[in-house]
Amino acid sequence: MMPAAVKMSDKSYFLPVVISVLMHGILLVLVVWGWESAELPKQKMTPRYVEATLVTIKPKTVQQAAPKPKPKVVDMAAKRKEQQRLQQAAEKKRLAQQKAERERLRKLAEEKARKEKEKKAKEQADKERLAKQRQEQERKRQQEQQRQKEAAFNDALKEEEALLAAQEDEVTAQSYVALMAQRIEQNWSRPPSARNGMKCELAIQLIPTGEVINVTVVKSSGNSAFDRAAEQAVKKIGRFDELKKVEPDVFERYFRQVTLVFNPQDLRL
Amino acid sequence: MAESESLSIISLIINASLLVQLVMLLLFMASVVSWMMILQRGHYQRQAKNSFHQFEKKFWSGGDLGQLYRDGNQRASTHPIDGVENIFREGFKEFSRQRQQGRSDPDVVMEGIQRAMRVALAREEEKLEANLPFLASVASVSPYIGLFGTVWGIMNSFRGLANVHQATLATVAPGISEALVATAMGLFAAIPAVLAYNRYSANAESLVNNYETFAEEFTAYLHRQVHSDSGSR
Repeated sequence: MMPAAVKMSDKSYFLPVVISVLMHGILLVLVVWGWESAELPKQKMTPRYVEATLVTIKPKTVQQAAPKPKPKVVDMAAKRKEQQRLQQAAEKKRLAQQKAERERLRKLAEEKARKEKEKKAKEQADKERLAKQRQEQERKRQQEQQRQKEAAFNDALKEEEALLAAQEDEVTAQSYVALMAQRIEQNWSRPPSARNGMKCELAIQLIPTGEVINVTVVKSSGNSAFDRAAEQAVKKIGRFDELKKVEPDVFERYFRQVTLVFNPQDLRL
Repeated sequence: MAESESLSIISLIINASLLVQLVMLLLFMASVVSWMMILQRGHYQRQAKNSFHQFEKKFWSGGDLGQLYRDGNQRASTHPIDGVENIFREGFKEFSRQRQQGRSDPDVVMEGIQRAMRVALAREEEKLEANLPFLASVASVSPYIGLFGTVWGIMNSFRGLANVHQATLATVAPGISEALVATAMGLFAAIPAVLAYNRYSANAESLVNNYETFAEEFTAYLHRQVHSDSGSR
């Protein structure tokens, strides 16, 4: 009886084994291939995070001194440059117009004078001389005017150049400030209550070696833990080595007392 | 922070620690075996129910019981006999044996028949409920095994976190998600096993009840037969 039963059950187990193994095999295949597509949105999210942390293009920023990593800075500078260029163009246009006007006036006057000369040549030499004198006076006055205009233009040009230099300095300073913000961002320990979009203003006193003398929160983010963490991060850094490369006059102008908006981008919430 | 690779389930499994992988393998095997048993049990119990109804019809059709027994003999030589027919055959075999030996005391004869049928019934019950204990243990234990894998994985993930300076969700999340795969697999193995265990144990119980009823009826029939035999003698 029993051997028969065992034999029977051996036979009847074969099909269930096959079906069960097949079923799990299909499931495995589904897991390997089928659910890959469902994972895609998740995959999209991870590179975004990586992008946020990988903002370490230090050498580029230092060499070019171009504010590439901070789009906001670029915006400001570009806008101002654009404005300036527009102004310059307007000025040039105006000058060109004036010149043309003058040319036209002069031609008119000459023609007039010639006519007068033709008319009055026979009549009076005095009058001719007078006219000549007047003409000369006119020309002199015109020349004077032109010279004045040129001088004014040169002045404006010089002023502009100075402004440009100042702006360049400012751009450099801004790039260094961005670098400092990056350093702080790398060194701060993120409090759990920190949220995206929080920012606070820090006033940092520095000396030319880049060492931090004092740091205070000027404008709170509204979250004291966040403020404290930012302050702690600056204190922890202690010395911004990058600032050694800044020219002394730029340093004096911008970095003796620098106000920095701390707005970390690495938060995920 | 190398989460640039995909977070698909298969990569999570591959990157898991050895113990968690072992747990997953164990659970996978448990799932395979329990499904095997679920299918086999379902098939067997369905067959048993069908054969019970068929046999009952044949039994109460009023034919000769000796003929029924001889038919069974013929079938038994080709393939084994299951279910209620076994009970009938044991009882009938005992009855004819007692009659051949010429026992006259009806109570002794009935006692022998009843004992033979009880043995057959117990054997059939055992056959019906075979493998059900395995399903029950898979159902109750595999969530715990999965949970163990998860706890281990999360433990490791947090231990790794202790060394990281800046703890973001992104540093913990892959480890936890990896660990949770073990729990998912435990539940995956346990849920069908629970359902199958409940269903099949209820089925087996109702079938055993049917068998018992049949055995009683058959006993009554034989009882009549034995007493009429002894009365006529």
